[in-house]
Amino acid sequence: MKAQDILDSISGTKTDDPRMAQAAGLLAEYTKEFQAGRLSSEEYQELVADLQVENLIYAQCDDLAAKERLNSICSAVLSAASLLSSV
Amino acid sequence: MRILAILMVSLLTGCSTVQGVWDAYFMAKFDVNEYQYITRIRTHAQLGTPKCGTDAVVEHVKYIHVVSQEYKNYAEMIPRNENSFQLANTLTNITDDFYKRYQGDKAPSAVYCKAKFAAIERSAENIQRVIGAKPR
Repeated sequence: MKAQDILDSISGTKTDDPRMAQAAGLLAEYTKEFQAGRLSSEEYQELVADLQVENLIYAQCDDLAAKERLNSICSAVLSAASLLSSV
Repeated sequence: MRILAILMVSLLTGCSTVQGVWDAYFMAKFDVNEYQYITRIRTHAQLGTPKCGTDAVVEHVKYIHVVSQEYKNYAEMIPRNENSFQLANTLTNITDDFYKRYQGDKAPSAVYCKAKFAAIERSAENIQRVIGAKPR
């Protein structure tokens, strides 16, 4: 795939997901820099691969945040239960 | 009492397994050292960005490489801390490549350097947010 094809496919894609929109914006930016010769082929490939790694970090952060929410619920239920048992 | 509460939360939240609620309840608590590691990584990504294209940037790249490895090793052995270890491990995918590129004869481009620091800063900020919200 040529750099211009990548830019064309990004500009033709619409998404409501802010993370995907950010990744698409970065991909377009990297592709333009590569086209202009300010990024080598290896550097460009690494930066594009990093976008996938960042996406994985977002997913892992979501997992941890969900666990933290569940922990808060458990603590609240326990507090309520101990309050009730003391009455 | 605790077991009953965990069962109750499993039912209330519609969680498919009691194990999931159990893991969440007994998850590793907020750890000031972990938080400090990720804060240092984010700070050095910020400080290194304006130095891209100069020799002075190398100290920040090296520092981030060392601290992210430390964070990974530190998080690994804390019981019930798998999520934090996963995050540290994934982050080193970005930081290791960055460091390796500065080990070569040819210095990387300033555009690459700024983009890498930005990726590290974004990732570290997100990790910092969830690590900071761990239960006390």
